[in-house]
Parts: sequence; structure tokens; C-alpha cells
Amino acid sequence: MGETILTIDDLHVQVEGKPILRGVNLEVHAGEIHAVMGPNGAGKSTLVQAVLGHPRCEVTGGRIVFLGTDVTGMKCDERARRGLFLGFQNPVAVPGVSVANFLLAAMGTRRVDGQPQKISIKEFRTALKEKMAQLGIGDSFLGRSVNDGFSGGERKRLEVLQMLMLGPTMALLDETDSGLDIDALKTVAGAVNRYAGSSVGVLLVTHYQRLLGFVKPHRVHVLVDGCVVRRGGPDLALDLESVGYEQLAAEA
Amino acid sequence: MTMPGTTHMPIPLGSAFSREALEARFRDEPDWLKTRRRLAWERFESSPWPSRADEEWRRTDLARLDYRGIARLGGGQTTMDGAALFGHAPESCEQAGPRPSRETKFTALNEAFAEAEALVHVAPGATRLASIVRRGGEAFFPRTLVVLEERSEAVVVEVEEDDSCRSGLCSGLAELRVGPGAKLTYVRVQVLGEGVGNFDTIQATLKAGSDVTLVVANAGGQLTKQFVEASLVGEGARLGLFGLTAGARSQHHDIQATIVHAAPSTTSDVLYRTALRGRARSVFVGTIQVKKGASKTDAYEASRNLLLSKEARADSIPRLEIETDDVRCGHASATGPLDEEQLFYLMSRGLTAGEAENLIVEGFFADALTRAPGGGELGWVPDFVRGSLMRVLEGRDRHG
Ligand SMILES: Nc1ncnc2c1ncn2[C@@H]1O[C@H](COP(=O)(O)OP(=O)(O)OP(=O)(O)O)[C@@H](O)[C@H]1O
Ligand SMILES: [Mg+2]
Repeated sequence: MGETILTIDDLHVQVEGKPILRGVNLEVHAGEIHAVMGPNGAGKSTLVQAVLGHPRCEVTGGRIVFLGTDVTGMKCDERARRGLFLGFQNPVAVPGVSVANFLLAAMGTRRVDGQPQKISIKEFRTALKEKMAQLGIGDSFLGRSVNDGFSGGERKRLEVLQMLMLGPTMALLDETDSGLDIDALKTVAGAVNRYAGSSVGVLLVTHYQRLLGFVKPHRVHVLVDGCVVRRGGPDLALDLESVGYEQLAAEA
Repeated sequence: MTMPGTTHMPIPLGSAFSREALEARFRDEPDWLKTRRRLAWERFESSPWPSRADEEWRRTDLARLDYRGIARLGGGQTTMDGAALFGHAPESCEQAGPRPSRETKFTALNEAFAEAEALVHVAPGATRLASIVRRGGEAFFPRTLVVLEERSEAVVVEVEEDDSCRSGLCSGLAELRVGPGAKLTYVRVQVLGEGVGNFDTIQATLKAGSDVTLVVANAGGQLTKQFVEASLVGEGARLGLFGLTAGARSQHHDIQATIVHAAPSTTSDVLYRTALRGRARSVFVGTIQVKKGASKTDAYEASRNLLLSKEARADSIPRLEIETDDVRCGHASATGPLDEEQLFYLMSRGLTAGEAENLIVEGFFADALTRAPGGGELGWVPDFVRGSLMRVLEGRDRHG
């Protein structure tokens, strides 16, 4: 087993005074891919947003430990600079901010061992071209405003592009597979597979067995109503397809 | 605070505001110019201060202004390129300088004390690139006339700046006369000092088939009252008016834009973007008038306000006054705080709150800003406008 990257320890989260997560435990080690599944409204997005420190997610109990440091009270940007990444379920549009400028600004925040990483414009361009080619993203993307008027699939690709560029130690991808056609799904899954290596952790939130046909998770966690009700290997996802969440939750 | 029907108290003025000071200051000028100044001074003295009974002044409070401390009117420095000094150009006398469509106490004062009047006169079919940079004194009176003859083309950039913090006065008048088929881009950047009361008029007349783009940025001053007026008097004239306003502290920006469609098949597109921080306040009144006979007018006005603090306040007031059928007119306005989801998104990529906020604000200005000409000799313009706005609004990291 690799080094522990992320520990979610008895996490309780409220959103606008309403308890959403009720004691979630989850541990990701280096080299592992985890999948979190569960019905709509179960709290999957709340979980990954809480890990990144969304101000709306009020942690009322438990803690989040990233690379040995308790990050529970940290601002979102600090967590990001330490190497946490969230691929959003619904990435918001930022009108007037071009993808190129945004990526450059984001790259400028990277830290390795706490030290700012300088990257020249030339290195940035080269890296960007390479990753864009990998994801089948055209050059016209760069001049467009971030997520503004993007199709669902374009938004998801941009999330993955950001992951590849920023090179986080822990990537949480919230339904990055939904809204993708089969070719795009294969491309994105391929990128995730390549990204997931021996030194990083990946957590995928997904509804679909379809994605898991391309990306093999080591562990699957089923979240229902703010609690993990089942855990298992890749086969658990298959069972879910036939049994459904309700029955699973009832059995638990 | 605003009570229609009450009259503004006169603004207290020192001895610099006098006939004697005027005579002494412009002793060496030609007689015709001295006469013009004297007449203007008399009109200044005899005309009333704007009253809150006037609809267009009711949202701006002049009561706190005090100009007794101003020792000298005029002065400052003007650097021009591609423009001539009024009075030195042969056509000056005929052109007689800019004429306000409606005189106020401020435009009369402007005419009495103006120095370094700029004249940009572009001959038929000619092209011109002009820049006018004015660095103000305690009280200064920018005065600009731009005349584009038939089918000429020009880009004119005018900057009003003053980096002092003292209380000052700026009263400007710019008139743009755009001939048939001519094409003008006029950029105005106002970065006056923090204590300045700024009273300004920009007016444009568009002849048939002309095409005018106005980019008007207001970032400085304590109080700005600006009238932007465009009359589309020739068939097929097109106007784009792009306003960018930044306010912080207790800055007050009151902008009144009036677009008059007086000929058929004229088009106007008005887009205002205002971002405020601190206790800043803005008013934007956008009036579209479509006169009788101006059929097939196409007019659209949009204004958006971004409030970066709880205390900031912005009002957008659209007015449509339509006297003819067969027109397309529309307006939209929206006011809101910084979007928390955008902020979280950018911060989740490692940007600090301040960096994220700055990026969002720059993005907010972007669509109006892209209308400013750039490239080549004008490469500095968009960056200068952006920088002027962003300096006022710099993000949370500094302000806590
Ligand atoms: N902004 C919000 N304000 C109030 N409640 C919210 C907000 N966002 C989410 N919730 C609530 O939190 C609960 C969990 O939502 P969450 O988005 O985490 O679910 P999810 O498992 O990601 O669902 P889905 O599969 O539909 O994406 C839901 O009951 C939802 O209504
Ligand atoms: Mg979700």
C-alpha cells in the first residue's frame, strides 16, 4: 500500500444549517483510484467540495487530512496550492476571462514543497499544446471565456485539462464522465488512467458503470443520505446496476 | 437625502473665480478669444447652479464641494499628438470650438478658463490617430473639438489625469462632429485625483452613414457628473457607446447617457459596466430617444453593476422615449455581488481570494474593454484602461 494521501475522518458537514454528511470515512493511498457512487442528493458533491473547502460546506465534526496535514480549517486556495484538485460537476462560467489567461494564472500558483514553481511562457505553451492534443481540444478553446457557452462535454474536458496541467497529488473528479459521448468518455478515461500513477490519488464521483468499464477503481464507496453504506471492490459497481441504491441502503 | 424641489446651495468659490483673475490670466491672448472668455464668464455668473429640481441633477449632491481653497484656475499640462491647439489652427475661428448643446454653469466656466484646447480636424477621406493627455492643475478645463469631414477616419484617445489628492475641479467639454460616412473611435480615460469634482460633457453628432465608437472610462475623481450625448442625425448612422466605471472609497459617479435617434435606419448599442467597492455609489441613466421619422431605428442599452462590498450602491435607470413606430428598442440591466461560485472555482485552482476577485472583475469589464482600439501604436490603450480601473478596485488581499 502506498503512502496515505487523503484521509476523510468522520466528516460531518452542514449546508445552510442542514446536515448533509453524517460521518463519512474514506482513505486514499498513493496509486489508488476510488469511486464514490450514490443516488442524487446523497451528498457526493458536498463531500468533494468540503474536501476542497467550499465556504458553503460547514464542517461540524471530523477532519480532512491531506499528506499528513490537517487541512480542515484551511482556505480553499491553500488546499489547492498544496495539491488538491476538484473537477467540478457543474463548472461555472467566468465571462471575459480567457481559458489561456486562467490557466496561466492557475499555473502561477503551483507549489512544490511549499516553493513557488516558476514556469516560462514557453514551457507553459509546450505543456498546454501537448495536453490539449491528448484530450482532443482545439486551439480555439484558449481564446474563449472559461466555460462560457461551453457544451457539457467541453466543460468536462476543460476540467481534465486543468488537472493535467496543474498536476495535483489528489484529484477529485465530480461526475467528469457525465455529458460525454462515448469517444469523449474514452479520451477522458484514458487521460485519467495515465494520470493515476504510483504517486497520486484519484477519487471519481460517478453514476455510471460505463466509466468504470474504462477506469478500474480499486475501491468503490456507496454514499446514501450522507453516509457510506457499502464499500467494496470494482464488482460493487456492477451489483449496484442490478440492485439499485435503495435496496442496497436497506440491506446495509 | 435627495429632495426634489430644493435648490443646490452655491458651491463656495475663492477669489480665483473672478473677472479680475480671468483678465490677468489671459491678458496676452488675441482680442476675439478674450471677448469669448468674458462673455462666457458673464454667462457663468448670471446662470444658476444646477438645482435638485432638475431631474438629471437630483441624485448628485454638490453641497459638500468647497472651492474656496483653489488659488488658480487653469494650468496643468497637456501633451498632444495628432491634434492642434485651438487658436493656432487656421480653421479655429470658424469652428469656434466645441459648443455644448445645453449650457450649464460648468460649461460656461469651461469656456471662460479653458487652456490648451485641442482641435482634431480630419480632412475628407483622410485618416488620423490622435492622443491628448491632460494632467490637471487645481482646477482645469479640458476642451476638445473633433471634426471628421466626409469619409475620414480617426482614432482619438484622450486622458484626463491628476495624481494629487487635494480637492480640485475639472470641468470638461468634448464635442465630436462626425461627417457623412466618417468613422471615429474616441476613447476617454478619466483618472483624476481622489479629491476632484469632475463635471463633464461629451457630445457627438453623427451624420449619414457615419460610424462612431465611444469608450468612456471613469476611474478617478471624488465626484463625477458626466453627460454623454449622441445625436444620430443622418440616415444609417451607427453608434457604439461602451462605458467602464470603477469606484471605491466614497466615490460618486453619476453618468447620464442620452442617445437621440433623429434619422431613419440608425443603430445604437450602449453597454455600461460598473464595478464598485467600499462605499462608492454610481448612477447610470441611459436614455434612448427615437424621434418622429426615425423609423427602422435599432437601439439597445445594457448596463451591469458589480458590487464588491455591501456598502456600495449602484442604480441603473433606463429610459425609452419613442415617438415612432417600426423601431427595435431594448434594454437590460443587472446589479449583483461577486459570484461566490466563480470565486470558489478560481480559488480551487490556487488563486488567492484577491487574485480570483481581480480576474473576475477584469472579466466583467472585458466585453466593454475589447471595444477600445489596440494593436500597433495603440497597443497601450486597452492595458492602460484596464490598469486605471483595476487600480481603484484592487482585490481583497490588500483590503482585507
Ligand atoms: N447550495 C445549496 N443549498 C442548499 N442545499 C444544497 C445546496 N447544494 C446542495 N444542497 C443539498 O445538499 C444535498 C446533497 O447535495 P449534493 O449536490 O452533494 O448531492 P449529490 O450526491 O452530488 O447529487 P447528484 O448526484 O445529483 O449530483 C441535497 O439535498 C441538496 O439539495
Ligand atoms: Mg453531485
